[in-house]
Amino acid sequence: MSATGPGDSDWDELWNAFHRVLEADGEEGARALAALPPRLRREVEELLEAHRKSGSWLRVSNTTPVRDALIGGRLGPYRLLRQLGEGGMGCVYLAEQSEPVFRRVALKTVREDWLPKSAGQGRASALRRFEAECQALVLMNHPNVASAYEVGLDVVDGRGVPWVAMEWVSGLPIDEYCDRYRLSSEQRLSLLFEVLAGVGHAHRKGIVHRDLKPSNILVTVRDGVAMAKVIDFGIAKALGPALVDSPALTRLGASIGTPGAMSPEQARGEEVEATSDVYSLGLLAYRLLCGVSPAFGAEPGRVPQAPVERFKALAAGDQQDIAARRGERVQDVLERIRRFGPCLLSALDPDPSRRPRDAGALAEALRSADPATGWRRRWPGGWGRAPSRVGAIAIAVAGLVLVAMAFAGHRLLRDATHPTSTSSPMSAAPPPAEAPVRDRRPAVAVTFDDLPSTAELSVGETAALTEGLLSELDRRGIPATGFVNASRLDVAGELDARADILRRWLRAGHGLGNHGARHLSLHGETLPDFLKDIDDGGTVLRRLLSEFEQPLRYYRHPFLQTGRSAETRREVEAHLDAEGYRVAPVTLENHDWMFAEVYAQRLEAGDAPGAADVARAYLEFTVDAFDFWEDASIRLFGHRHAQVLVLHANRLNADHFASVADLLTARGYRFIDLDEAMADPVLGRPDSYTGPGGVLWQFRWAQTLAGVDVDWSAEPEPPAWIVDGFGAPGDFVE
Amino acid sequence: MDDRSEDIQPTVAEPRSAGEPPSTAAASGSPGPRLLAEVYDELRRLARARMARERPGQTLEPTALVHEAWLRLGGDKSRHWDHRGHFFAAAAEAMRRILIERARRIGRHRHGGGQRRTSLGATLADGWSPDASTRLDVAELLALDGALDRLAQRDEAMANVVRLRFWAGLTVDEAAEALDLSARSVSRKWTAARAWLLRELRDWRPPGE
Repeated sequence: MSATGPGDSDWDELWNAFHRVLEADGEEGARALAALPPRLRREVEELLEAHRKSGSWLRVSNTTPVRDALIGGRLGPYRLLRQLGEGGMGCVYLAEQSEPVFRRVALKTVREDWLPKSAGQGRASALRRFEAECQALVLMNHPNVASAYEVGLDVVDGRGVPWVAMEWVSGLPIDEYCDRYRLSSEQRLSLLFEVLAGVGHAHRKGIVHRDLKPSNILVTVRDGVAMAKVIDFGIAKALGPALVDSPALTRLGASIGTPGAMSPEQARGEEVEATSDVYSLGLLAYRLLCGVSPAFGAEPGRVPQAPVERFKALAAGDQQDIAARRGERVQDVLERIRRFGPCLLSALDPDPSRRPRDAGALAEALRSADPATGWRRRWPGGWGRAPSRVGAIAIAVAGLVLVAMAFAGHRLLRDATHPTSTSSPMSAAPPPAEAPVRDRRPAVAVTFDDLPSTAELSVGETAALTEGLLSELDRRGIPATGFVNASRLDVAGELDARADILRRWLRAGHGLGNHGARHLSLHGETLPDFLKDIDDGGTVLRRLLSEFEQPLRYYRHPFLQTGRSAETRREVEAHLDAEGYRVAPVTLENHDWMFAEVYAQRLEAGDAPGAADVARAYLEFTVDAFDFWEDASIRLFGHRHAQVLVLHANRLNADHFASVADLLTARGYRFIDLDEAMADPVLGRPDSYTGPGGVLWQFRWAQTLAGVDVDWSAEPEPPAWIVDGFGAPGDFVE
Repeated sequence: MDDRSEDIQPTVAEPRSAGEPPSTAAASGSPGPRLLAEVYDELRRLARARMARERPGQTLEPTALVHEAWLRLGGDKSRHWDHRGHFFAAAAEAMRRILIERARRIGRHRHGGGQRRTSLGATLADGWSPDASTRLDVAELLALDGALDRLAQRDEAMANVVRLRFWAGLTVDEAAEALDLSARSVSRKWTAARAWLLRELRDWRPPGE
């Protein structure tokens, strides 16, 4: 390592140059950069690139930012399910309404420390203003704007909590969507015009968004058509007045709005109007069309470089990359930028009075810049020109949505009336006698990992919980497969007793597979050590299985980690092949291991009601998790396939597996063994995922399927108190 | 993977195992082992209290914990340290251990969908994105910590800004006060350090590959 540091001239020079370029205006910065000696310039460029990408990196605390006494409780008619996000002013929750209609909403609240502290008039009037502002939102009604349903004020623990219930939109930020699906410039424009239509609607009603940035402009698929939805409309304004009397206001100043997405006047903390939204929309249009952000210096309030110049100044490779993301040629992209450039610049004028007066006017200006493109309507299932790949995807998705809706309807019915029904709608009508009888119910294979049981349990406890699980499996006729960590047998003086526990599984007719002797992480070991661990597990298991004349056929990767590189994957797979293993996939899971830990803590503390709370949360979460993974399957393949569920041999499942099984039955599942599940062609699909994640197979398959529309970030997470209970108390045992 | 992995223990006698660079020296020097142990104990005690089951919503928030510990241990009037910087340096180091230990514990059990695809490693695999930092797994936290130590060898002040901001959750102003620097200077160092660390971690690959 070179010994540069403060006082070292190279180091100081580096950072001086870095800050000089960063703090200068766009062109001035470019000049300063160009003036540097080549080696220094390269280093500064790398650091600037890193800086550009750093965003909020390290800024957030590195633990879950979730903190919440509201979850599980109610605000108005809504039950708060989990936190979706935390903004500057308050939290956003996913919440559920059950009466008179069942629907899920995004519920926004204002943080109490943003409200005036005193209970006096200031506070009351702040809340009144909040409500009045929100009422205006409820008046908006436009397909490209997420609707506000209802506003309310509840008293929780003696404090007022103002909230607003909004349409819950699940989608991708517009810029991410455009790049991920390689939308053409025309398709991007088409989405942009939807955004302008939505914002224009609000502007005509006198409502200003104030925080238009890609993460507030989502693209979601409705009825098979991609559409833009502006979310959080006017929330900034509505929540703003509540702050007027709060000291927090002076502290946070112009923090309504997002740096990098707001107009110069907003950054200065001045009163903003529709023209301020126009500026943010100009930034968005610039990014969507040019593929880069405009070049200004760190200081807002300057005129940006002309888009054409900006684009031409990019390295040839970057230009090609941007064009490739649109499936176009560089010259086509440039031509379009040339056409819209003046419009973009007028939207980004530092003087608000010289911008188009509102979103409608901006749309008008863009249209007249190029009468031939942009506003052609898409018809359902296709785009305004010859169906592109995306169009085809949209059509395919339309079919899936219908299927998904059918299941959603099924789910509603179950929730309402059949919590433990054993019949399924699909098997209700008996098949005609002459037809080949084929059970069309969805099927699931149940597997248990980490046998004989988690390491912390004594042999007596393990035997007891095994009996509990086995009797439940037996009562319901569920065939299961257990995956064994053979080193857990190896406790001095207990080897036989522990091996007997595994024999109990075999005697009951279940299968056993290898889960690695010591549950090592492939990503934390050298390859030879890892392969040896596979073999160690196999040696013990084969001996045991031979007593029952069964072969050893299945292997499941510990942590489901299958290799971060293709080479590692190949080597491990070649070894498994040579040893006669088949890899057991996982397509359903419910984080039982996490709940189980908290459950055990509470039982140990003699807190039976607390443990019951955990069990309740576990079952609720199981429903959400199954919904997510089943939905992913359908989006991937257009139909259901045999599922493989992973659970663990722990106390929580010993006590509550019956309820999990009820849930599966109520969802229409029949239980099959792993062999039968593996006969489903879907489960035989190759999985070539490489990466750090111990991810389920739907995610793996999606990597090789074109046009998959699954929002993986929507994968449910256990409630914060489970995550924290799991991670925390044990750490602090003295 | 890392010799540092063994030095994070539930109890603390020394700030770091021998041979490692001293961590989080404030303007007036490193916190001594005794101060560190005391702050560490207090933070752990507070963290445990937060997890008590009558408040199921609570989580580990470094900022809140560190500030509460500051008050409980006597604030400005305490005889245990010379000034705030001294205390916060110890707090940052203590929180570092607590958070890594916690991540390690969670990491031991994590698998399946439990491992989010927004981790640092996953993000590295397909390019950086800014919001990757909310959930780092333990190997990633350690990689970051290692990069921070390398930064400290080149520029201790820059590294200290990151330690106070990232591990102890201090604001720019608080870090400025603790380090006896101007807020502008802290802000510049913070920007520079994040860029340097990101570049440093650009080629980082998780262990085992």
